[in-house]
Amino acid sequence: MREFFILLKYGGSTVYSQPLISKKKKYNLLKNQLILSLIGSVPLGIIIFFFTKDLFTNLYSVDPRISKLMFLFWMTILSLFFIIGYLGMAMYSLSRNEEIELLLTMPIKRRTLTIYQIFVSTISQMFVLSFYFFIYLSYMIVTKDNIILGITRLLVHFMFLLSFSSVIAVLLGGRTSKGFVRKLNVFISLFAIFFYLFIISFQNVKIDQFQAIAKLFNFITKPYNIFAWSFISNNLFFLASVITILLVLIFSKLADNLAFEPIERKTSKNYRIKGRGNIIKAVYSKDLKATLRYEQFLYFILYPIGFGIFFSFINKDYFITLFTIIPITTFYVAFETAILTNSELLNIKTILSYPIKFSTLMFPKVIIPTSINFVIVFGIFIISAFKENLTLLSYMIIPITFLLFSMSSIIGIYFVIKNPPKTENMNRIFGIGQTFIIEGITMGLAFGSILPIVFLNNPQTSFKSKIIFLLIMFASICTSIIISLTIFRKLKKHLDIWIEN
Amino acid sequence: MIKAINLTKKFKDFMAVDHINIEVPKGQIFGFLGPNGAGKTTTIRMLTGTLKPTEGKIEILGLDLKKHEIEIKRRIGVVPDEPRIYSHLKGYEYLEFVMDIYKINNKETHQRIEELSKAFGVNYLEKLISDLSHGMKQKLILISVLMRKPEVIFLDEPTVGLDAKSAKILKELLKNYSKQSTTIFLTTHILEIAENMCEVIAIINNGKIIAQGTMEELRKLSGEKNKTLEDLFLELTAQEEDIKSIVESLSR
Repeated sequence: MREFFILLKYGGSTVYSQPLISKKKKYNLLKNQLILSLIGSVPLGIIIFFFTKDLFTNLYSVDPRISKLMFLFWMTILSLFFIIGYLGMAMYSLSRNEEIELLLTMPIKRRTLTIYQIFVSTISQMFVLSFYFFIYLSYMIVTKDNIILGITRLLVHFMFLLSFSSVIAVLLGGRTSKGFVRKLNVFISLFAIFFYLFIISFQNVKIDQFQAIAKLFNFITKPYNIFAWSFISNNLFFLASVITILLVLIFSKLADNLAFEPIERKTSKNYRIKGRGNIIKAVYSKDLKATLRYEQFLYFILYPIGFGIFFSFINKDYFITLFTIIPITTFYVAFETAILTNSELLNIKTILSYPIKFSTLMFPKVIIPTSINFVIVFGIFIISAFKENLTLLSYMIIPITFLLFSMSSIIGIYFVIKNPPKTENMNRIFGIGQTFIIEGITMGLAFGSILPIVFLNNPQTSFKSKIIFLLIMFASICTSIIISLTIFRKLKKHLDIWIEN
Repeated sequence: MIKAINLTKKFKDFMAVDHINIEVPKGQIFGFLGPNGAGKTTTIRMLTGTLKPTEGKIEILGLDLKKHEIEIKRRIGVVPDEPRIYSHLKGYEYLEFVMDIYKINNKETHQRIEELSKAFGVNYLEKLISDLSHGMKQKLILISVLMRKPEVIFLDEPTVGLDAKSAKILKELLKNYSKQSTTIFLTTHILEIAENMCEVIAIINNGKIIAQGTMEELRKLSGEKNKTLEDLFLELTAQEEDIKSIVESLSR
C-alpha cells in the first residue's frame, strides 16, 4: 500500500506527458489531475442529478417502466463510454511505456504497478463516472430503492465494468499508442459534454413523446445488454456479481505476472522521400501535419461544431447555430495558433539555422487555423443561406468572422511568444490567467461583433435599440482591428527579444 | 572560410562571449573546447546566424553574415547541441522538409540519404520523431546536414547519444570531408576526439579564448612536450587542482 501511495504522489508521466511541478516544487500530478477532474465533473454531475431527478419523478408518476427504460438507456450509454475510454487508456498504461520502463527497475510488485495504472486510467474517466453516479443516485431516490442494495448494485456494476475492461486491456495490451489514447479521450470528453447537453434538453420533451421513444429502446432491457446487467433484473444482478468476482480473480492472476508488453506500432515502410524544393509548400505542409496529429486540434475543431449542431437541433435554426459556433471558435483559434507557435519555438535553436525568414515560418500559424475554421463557418453559413431568407446585414457575419479569427490567431502567437510554455504538453499551453484574458477578449469581441445582427434583423427591435446595437457592433469591430494591429506590432518586438536570448 | 572579429555576446550583465577572434581556413577541422558554460554554444549560435552578436563581425565563406544571412545559411550545415526537431513529423517527412527548405531535389541527395541511413543504421524514417531517442534524433539531424554536403559544417557536441559505430563513422566522414575542402567547426567535451581530429584547437573559458593553435603549439605554450590535450585543457582552464581536491575529499 505504501508503494502505491508513493506512486500516486510522484508518478503520472504516462499519458500526461510532463510531470506537473507546482511553484512550491511539490510533485502532485495525479493529485492535481484528480482534483481538476473532480472540480470539472462533480458540478456537472450535480446539475444532471437535479435534471434527471425531475425527469424520473415525472416519468415514474406516469409509467415506472418508461422511467426504468430511460435510466437503463443512460446507464448503457455511460457504461459504453466508460469501457471505450478506459480501455484505450488502460491498454496504453498496462503496456511498456516510459514510466513503466523506469518503475520496473524499482523494487515494486507488479500487482502494485497494475493497480496504480488502473487508478490512473480510472481518473481519466471521471466525467463519465460522475454522470453515472449522479444519474443512478437520482433514480435510486425517485424509485425509493433500498439504499444498501442500491449501493451494492452501483459498486457491482462499476467493478464489473472495471474488471471487464481491465481483463480486455491486458489481453489486448500494447496495441495502442499514446496519440491514439489521447485522441480517444478527446472523443469521449466530447461525447460526455454532448451527452450532458442531451440530458438537459430532455426537460422540454413531453411525457407522451417518451412513451413513443420507449418502444424504440426496448432492446436495452434484454439480458444481452451486459452494460446494464446489474440494473435490469435481480437475476442478472446476481449473474453480474458472480462474473465480476471471476473477472477480478482472473485479473489479479494476470496482474501478478503482467509482462507490460511493448507497444506494437503499425508503421508502413512504404514511403518515398519526395523533396519538392518549395519552401512555402514545406512550411504549410509541416503545420498542416501538426493540425492533423495534435489531438487538441480535434477537440478545438469538433467542439464548436458539435455545440452548434446541438443548438441548431434544439432551435431548428441554422443561422442561430453560427452565433454559438463563432464565439467559441474565435476563442479556440488562439489555442490552435498557440500550439503551432509553440511547436516552432521548442525547436527554435535548430530552425533558426535554416535559410528561411522567421516570418515565413510564422505566417502559416495565422493562416491555417484561421482558414480551417473560417471554411467551417462559411460552409454552415452557406447552408443556412439556402435554408433561410437571410437579410443583407446577415452577410456581414462573413467578413466579421474572418477579422475575429485573424485577431484571435495573432493573440495566440503573442501570448506564446511573450511567455513561452517550454513544454511539449500542448494541454498546458496557457496558464489559467492567460486563458481568462484570451477568453474575455476573443469571446467578448465575438459576441459584441455578431450578436447585434440578431437584434438588428428583428423587426420588433425599436429604432433606439437598433442604434445602440449598431454602436456595440461598430465598437467591437473597431476594437478587434485596433487589437490586431497593436499586437501585430508588439509581436515583432517580442520575437526579436526571444531570438536574442 | 570562418572569420570572427571581436565577437561579443552580452546577456544583460553576463558577458557570455568576450571579444574573441577566430579564423578557420578552408578545409580545416577546428576544435572549439571549453568547460560547461564557457561560451562554446553561444559562439556557434552567433557564427551560424541563430543569435545576434552584441558586438563584432562575422564572415562565413567570405560573406558578411549580417548582410548575407540567408545565402550563408543555405551553404552551411549546423548540428546543434540538442537534437530538437518537429516531434509531430515522421523521420522521412523531416528530411523532405529540409530538402524543401534548402531547395534541393536531386538524385544525388536521395542517394546520399540512402547511404547515410545505411551507415548510421537509420531504419526508422517511417516513425514519428516524438517516438525517437536522443541518439536516433541526433542521427536524423546528421543525415539532414550531411545529405546536402555543405561547404562549412558546425557541429556542437555531435557524438553525444551516438553509439560507438556511428560515432566512429562520423569522425571518419568528417576527416574525409575536410580532405575534400569542407571546413569543420566542432565543439566537444571528449578531448580525445579533438586531439585526434582537429588540426587547430581553441580553448574558451569564461567567454575568452585562453589558448589557440595546433597541438604542438598548445604544448609549447604549456612548456611540456608530452602532455595530452586533457592535461593541457585542465591546466589552462585551471581545473587540475580542483579535481585533485574534490577526488581526495570524495574518497575519504
